[in-house]
Amino acid sequence: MTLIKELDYGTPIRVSEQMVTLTIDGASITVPAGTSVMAAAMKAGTAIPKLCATDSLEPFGSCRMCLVEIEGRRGTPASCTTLVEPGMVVKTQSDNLHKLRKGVMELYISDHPLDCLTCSANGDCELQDMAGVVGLREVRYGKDVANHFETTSPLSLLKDESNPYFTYDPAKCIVCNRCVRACEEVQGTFALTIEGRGFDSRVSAGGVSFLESDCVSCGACVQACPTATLMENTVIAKGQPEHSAVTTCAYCGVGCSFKAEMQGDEVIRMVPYKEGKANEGHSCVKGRFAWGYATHTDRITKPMIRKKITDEWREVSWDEAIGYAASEFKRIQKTYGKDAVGAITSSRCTNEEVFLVQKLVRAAFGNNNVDTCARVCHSPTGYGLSKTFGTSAGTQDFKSVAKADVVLVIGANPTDGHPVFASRLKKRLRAGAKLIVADPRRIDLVKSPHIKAEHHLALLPGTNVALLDSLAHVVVTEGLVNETFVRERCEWQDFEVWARFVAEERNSPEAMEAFTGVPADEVRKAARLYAKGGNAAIYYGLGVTEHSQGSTTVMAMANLAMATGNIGRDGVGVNPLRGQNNVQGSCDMGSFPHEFSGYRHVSDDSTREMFQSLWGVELSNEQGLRIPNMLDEAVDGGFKGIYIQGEDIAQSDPNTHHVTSGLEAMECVVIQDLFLCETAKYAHVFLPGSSFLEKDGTFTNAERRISRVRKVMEPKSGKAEWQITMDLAKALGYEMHYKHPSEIMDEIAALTPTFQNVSYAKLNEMGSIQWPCNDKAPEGTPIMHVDRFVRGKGKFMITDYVPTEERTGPRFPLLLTTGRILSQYNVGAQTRRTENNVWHNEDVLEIHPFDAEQRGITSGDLVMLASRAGDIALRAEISERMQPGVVYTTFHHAKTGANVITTDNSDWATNCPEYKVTAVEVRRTNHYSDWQEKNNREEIELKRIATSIAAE
Amino acid sequence: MNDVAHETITGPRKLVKMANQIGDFFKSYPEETAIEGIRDHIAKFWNKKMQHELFGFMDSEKETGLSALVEKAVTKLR
Repeated sequence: MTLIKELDYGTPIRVSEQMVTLTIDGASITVPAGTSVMAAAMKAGTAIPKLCATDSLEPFGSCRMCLVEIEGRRGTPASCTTLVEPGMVVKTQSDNLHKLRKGVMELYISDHPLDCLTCSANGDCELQDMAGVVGLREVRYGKDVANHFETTSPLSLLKDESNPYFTYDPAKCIVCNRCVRACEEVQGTFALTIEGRGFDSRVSAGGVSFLESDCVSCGACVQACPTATLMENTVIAKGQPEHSAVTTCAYCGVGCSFKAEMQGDEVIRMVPYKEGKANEGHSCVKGRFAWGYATHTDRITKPMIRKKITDEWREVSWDEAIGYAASEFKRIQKTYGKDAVGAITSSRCTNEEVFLVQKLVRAAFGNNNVDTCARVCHSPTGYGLSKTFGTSAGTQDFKSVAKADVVLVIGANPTDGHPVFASRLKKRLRAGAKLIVADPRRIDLVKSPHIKAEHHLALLPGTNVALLDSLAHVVVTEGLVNETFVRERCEWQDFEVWARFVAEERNSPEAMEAFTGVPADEVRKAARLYAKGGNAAIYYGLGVTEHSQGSTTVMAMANLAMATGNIGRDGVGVNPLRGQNNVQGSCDMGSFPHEFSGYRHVSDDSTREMFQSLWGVELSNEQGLRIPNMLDEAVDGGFKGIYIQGEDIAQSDPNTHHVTSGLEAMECVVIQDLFLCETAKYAHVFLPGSSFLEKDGTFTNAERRISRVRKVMEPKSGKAEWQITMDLAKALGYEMHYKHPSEIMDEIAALTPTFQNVSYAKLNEMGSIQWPCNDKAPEGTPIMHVDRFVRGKGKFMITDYVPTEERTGPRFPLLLTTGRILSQYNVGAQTRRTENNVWHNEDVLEIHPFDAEQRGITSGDLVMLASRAGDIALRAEISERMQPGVVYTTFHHAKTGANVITTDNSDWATNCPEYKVTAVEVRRTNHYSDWQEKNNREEIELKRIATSIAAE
Repeated sequence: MNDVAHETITGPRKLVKMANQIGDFFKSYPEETAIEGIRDHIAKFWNKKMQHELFGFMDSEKETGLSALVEKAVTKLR
């Protein structure tokens, strides 16, 4: 294996139907109109020297290295800023050009240290390369004047080592502006600038350290830097990587493609892969830098068992652990019945691993008691979109947002939750698209550098349906319906019923204002913009789904998109921003208790027979239990054993008291995880899992894109997770025979119509594939429902607003809504074991100044947050992002226990929990809650390991 | 704060709450469509044990708390 190096064309690759033919160094080449001479030369195989140009950034024309000669033109134009023209004759080399470039290079090097041998960029430095290319042999200037690199020089500046992941060394800066432009053009944060003028100029994070600045640590500047000025600390410490493999990030649902750059089996750095279609060379702080958890000392690498949860863990062999788990499951099924056991699959595991766990449940347990964490995040997406459009997935690829004219972001905070998609979105907004944000909080997208939402509909938590119905009311009653689209593409009768419903006065913005709190006039303007502003796209997150009416909200968005004809082409659609990297995949793989892979009900005889014939076993035709139902049954005494693959329900699921009561009531809890997580406190068998770096497989992101995960190191426990599941199935009496995950994918393809043509060979050839990929769509499907909906005609559903049962009152006068922030991820099991803690080391309660003042609270105070479900103490942070009456916190830190507060209310259709609405009270306190004290004790008592010190 | 500790509902009362929520979604449809929608939803997504638990509750209790619409749908499911 070698180090993968993508070609750098110097300027962005342009797309145009018009082609231009020109001559470069005597050879003819044809390129799309709009291409730069530099990129055209590179396409022809000639690399013109350059320093300030790179193809992720617009041309800048400052370094004067890329000069060329063009017949009929005076002087030597810069090839990066000169566009190709028909018949143009270009020379990239001449004595004159050589002299000019060498002169420029000599000036650059006159203010640059000649410490190449000991420099961290040695072997990967464009400045060094260019000095070689132009044949620089001596530097005549700068000997007797002040420079930026000698520590004794008056111009010398200190290194900035404040960021935990990279170092800024001003001595190495050539002021090419690539970092500043990357921060602006690629990331869209505008944290960097050039400070000073002329020779004094240097890159600056706005006059403060990188850590104190607006920098979000996405790494785009480090990647863009041609020298060692901005360099990963791992490279400074260990040197350059020597080989790499392309793999997929294990964090959010954007599913970024990365090159894992290695020295032996040690990761040196993760660099976003330019060819990766989800991210096209961009990254965020988590994927780029926060991968240290994979080798953290907290990793449990040996199987362990114990009879009771109060016993110490005992390290055992794989055979003993698997044998014990299997014998317990068998005993429970014999004693309490076949349906007394089940499993939860993980959206952090690969498609292949998830497929095997659901296969184990259906074939070896003999029931359908399998569910996945999508239950608690995007299950309403699957339900709502399949009812209206006919398929349980988003409609677009991420790239589509570049063609949107209006974007409605509802219940999502992309700059924190899906940062790489947010960068794409912000790029489009800076180019002129209009933005509507519907969110109780003033999220960053509402107003940030060069971004301002046209409308911020700051609704009260729990009123999404009321808001969407009132938007639809305006569309219908003001004649904004795209009737041609609706007549051609949708069930007309359903449309008429729906239109009459939303047109009722009770659904008007004026009537709904009483519930939503959003001024009617603002709703009317937003509806007109969405309906008539050109291509309109909806992007949404868990702020939509995690409600008692989550599924209704998804349907209401689908109604709105159909009514305005915003489905089935580039730039439009209804797009879920999925939480975890493989939520889409885990749903596709048949993780739900009522469905086989490809969303086919277990009662469908022909589908079941197909599975039975390939698996050689009788399968149950009765749907099984969903996660909340499993826990209810456990508390009631009917559900006794569970196999949990890479999920931490004791922290992530709502109403912690109820979850842990359910777990405590079980007789065998088997956890397969990297760490002794919160749920492991209630477990009897621990099977050590493997990180994404330790296995082969695939993840499917929010745009239905299947991407390869590639093994770059051996599993620390000795087994990849698909092997563990195979072993457990065998011990339960059902053998599986796979030698490699590619064989599992072949089986998935054979059994799942939407995956029919997917294989590792095709993935290697195409890089990634968006399902459906079958004979009808051999190359996959970037945009769905183009000529017809998957269900045939689009179906409008009536979406009556039903207020949640969770109400504020005298005892609980505020509404709590929960979410995530940029630097931490989900339950924090990964990010808390990285340097990301410098940005966020505890969950805090955001509260509006009015509410804080009434309660005598100031920022930093310890406050008690209490709901009908329980209470916790955490620090307050006064924030005008909040609206009065609404408070907010995250659930990243186990010790906080945010889900002690949330209730077991759930979505009517899918039982997805209502995390986003909990009535609470907040008051100052001087002590932690009883639950927190108990949790602290149990953190030690329930995690003891007999042979070594407890890990977490 | 024990005075506010929330007692989580499980068993048949939880099922009644869930069924009524399903009813709330379908109640805006004409009665026949609504009954079919509720029946179909419970048939597809609740396992048999949950369904039977609800049936048993309806048999044993006079006041189940089920809405009239849901009661009709569940009766049709049996």
